[in-house]
Amino acid sequence: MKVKVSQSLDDLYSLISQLKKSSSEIGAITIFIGVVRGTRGDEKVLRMEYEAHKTLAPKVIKKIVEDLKMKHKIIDAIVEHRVGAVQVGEDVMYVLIVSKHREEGFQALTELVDRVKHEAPIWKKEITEKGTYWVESSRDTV
Amino acid sequence: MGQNVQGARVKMKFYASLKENMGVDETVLRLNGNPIFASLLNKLEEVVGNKIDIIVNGEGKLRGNVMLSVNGKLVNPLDLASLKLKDRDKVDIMPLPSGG
Repeated sequence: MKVKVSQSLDDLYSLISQLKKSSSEIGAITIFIGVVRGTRGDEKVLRMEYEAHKTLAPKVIKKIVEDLKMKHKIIDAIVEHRVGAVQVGEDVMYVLIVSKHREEGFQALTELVDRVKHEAPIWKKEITEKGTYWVESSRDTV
Repeated sequence: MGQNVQGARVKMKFYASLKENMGVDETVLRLNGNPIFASLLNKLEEVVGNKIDIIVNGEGKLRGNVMLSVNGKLVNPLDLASLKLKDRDKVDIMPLPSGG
C-alpha cells in the first residue's frame, strides 16, 4: 500500500509498474484519475487550491484502504492526492487498485474514491473568474 | 485525557474555510482546573467573540459540519461532552472533507 498527500503526483506508469510487482495473482488493475474541471456551473474555473491535514489525511486514507482490502479482497492499492494550487486540466488524484478479477476492483475503486473524498481531511477551494469558493461537503455528520 | 489540577495550555489550529472565517490560524488557550471541551469553547469565545457561532450551535455543541481531532486522533462528536483536556494537547478544528 502506498498513500501520498503532497504537492506532486508520481508518474502514473511507474505506479502501475510498482503495483504489478506486488503479486503474481494480479488479474486486473483499475485506476481513477481525478482532473481539475474548468467550469463551475456557468463560471470559468481558473484553478483549484487544495489543503490537507498533513498527518491525519494519510492516516485516514490508509485506514480506508485497509478496510477495503478486507471487504473486497483486493490485493493492494495506491492513493495519491495533491495539495496546493492545481491548474485546470491537471491531475489532482490517483487511485489504483490491483485485484484478482475486475469485479472486486471496480467495486473497491468506486468505494475508495468516494470515501477518500468524504472522509480524508482534504479541502478544496475553487478560484473562478467571479470569485473564490471553498467547496463544502454536503454531509450532515462526520 | 488525564487530570491536571494546574490547568492546561491547549493549542488550537483551524483549517481551510474555518481558518479564513474564524480569522484564526493557530492559538494557544490557557484553561484552568481540569478542563473539558466546554471549557475550551468558552475560552475560545473570549478570543473570537461571535465567530464562535461558526463552529458551535445554539445548544453549545459543535456543528455537524465541523470535525475535530485531539493529538492527531479524530474524536466522535458523541464523545465531546466527556472529553477532558490536558496540558499541551493539540486540538484541530476542521470542516468536513471536500477533496478529490
